[in-house]
Amino acid sequence: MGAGAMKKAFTLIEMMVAVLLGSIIVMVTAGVLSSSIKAWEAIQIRVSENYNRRTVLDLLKRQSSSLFIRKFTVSPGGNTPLNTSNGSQLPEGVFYFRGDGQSINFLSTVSFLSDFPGKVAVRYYVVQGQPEDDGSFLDLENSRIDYDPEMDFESQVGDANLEGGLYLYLEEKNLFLSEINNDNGDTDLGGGPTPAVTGLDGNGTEVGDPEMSGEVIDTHTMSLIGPLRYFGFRYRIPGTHGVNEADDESNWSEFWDLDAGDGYPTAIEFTFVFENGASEDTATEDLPTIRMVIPVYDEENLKRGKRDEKRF
Amino acid sequence: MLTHTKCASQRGFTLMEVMAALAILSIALVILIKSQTESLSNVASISNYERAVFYTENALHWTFLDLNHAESWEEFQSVTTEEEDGDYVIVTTVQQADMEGEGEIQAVMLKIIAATTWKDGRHEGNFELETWYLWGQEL
Repeated sequence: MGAGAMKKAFTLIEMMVAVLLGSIIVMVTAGVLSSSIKAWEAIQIRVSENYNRRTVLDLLKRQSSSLFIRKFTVSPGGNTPLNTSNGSQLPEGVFYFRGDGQSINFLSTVSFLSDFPGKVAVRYYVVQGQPEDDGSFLDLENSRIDYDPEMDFESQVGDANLEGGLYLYLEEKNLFLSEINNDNGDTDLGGGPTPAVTGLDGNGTEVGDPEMSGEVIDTHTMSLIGPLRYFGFRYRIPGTHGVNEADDESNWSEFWDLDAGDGYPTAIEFTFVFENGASEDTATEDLPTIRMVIPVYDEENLKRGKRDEKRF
Repeated sequence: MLTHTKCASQRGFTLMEVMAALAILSIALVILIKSQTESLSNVASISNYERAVFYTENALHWTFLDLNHAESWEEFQSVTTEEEDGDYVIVTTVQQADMEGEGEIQAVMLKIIAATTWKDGRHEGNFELETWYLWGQEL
């Protein structure tokens, strides 16, 4: 009888307490593990986002730093700008440098979407939303502009008003450009062969060979990053900026056309506003924003002080 | 007697044993929770660090832009800017590099250092980038 009493099983109360304690321990442990997994996933998403942003910014930076600079035989602002890109040298729809608030076209020496060597006509623009499987992104709201050469540039400029769910697209046209010798007395900066250019020089004499025109070899398009709340460009107006001078809107232009005769902007500014899963009610100003300024190294922009003084 | 021995061998845990078990369990849980909290704070730190890198790079670009047009580089020797209401402080310094021993070269080389500091929890984060700028020839 005594031995039997010693071997009795757990009572109901003991079992309940044990199960309760066991449950609490399992729940706490599971909660901690679950939070750890969520934190790990959040880190992975954030690292991936940062990596993507970094890559896109580097791409933008490298491509815009590798602008193929058009030479002028008459100083920008002079009476007769030479070598208009509306001549027969560049294929239709390709520009040395032309941009507005949400799209930009320029000629670069760096191609990212193909291995084809040589010049590439680059175009960045935004598309609102993502296309259906069988749809085209060009059916969606976008900032891509097919400029009409017959129309005034400023009348075709977009008003940079696309916001929310934006995807940045890169379009590259690989070009084959004919070459000629520039014998009009301009100083070659040693930047390699000059592409064929046609037009009238300062004396009204035709230069270049209109028969030798550029050719588009291939076109590639790729969506780079999104969704973004906003993406925009600004173009810095040439001029000296003192250390104590505040940077304000008057230093920037919302659009730029090289053919207008003002030369290149001294810098291009990219603005990214990331959505980061924020609700639509969150104001654009409250979202994380990155502004990156990329200097443009045009020969004209590297003259110290006044533009007609000694060169850099 | 036999019964008593068997009873003694089947007795429950002592208070000390239970306390030791609880202590071990608590330590394990504390370590788990601590590592999880660190993971969460790392997410914020990575984000802050990434922003600091952008600001530092952008400060260098601004310095290049300013120097491209400046009449003299000396006025840009030390420039302090702030981002996000002072959360990030970027100090850009421009120093003339020592060109002695470089033969007859008269060029002025500038060393540009952009250093960003920011509050990262109880610590202070910092990131620095350094580059060179050819100012031009000394006439």
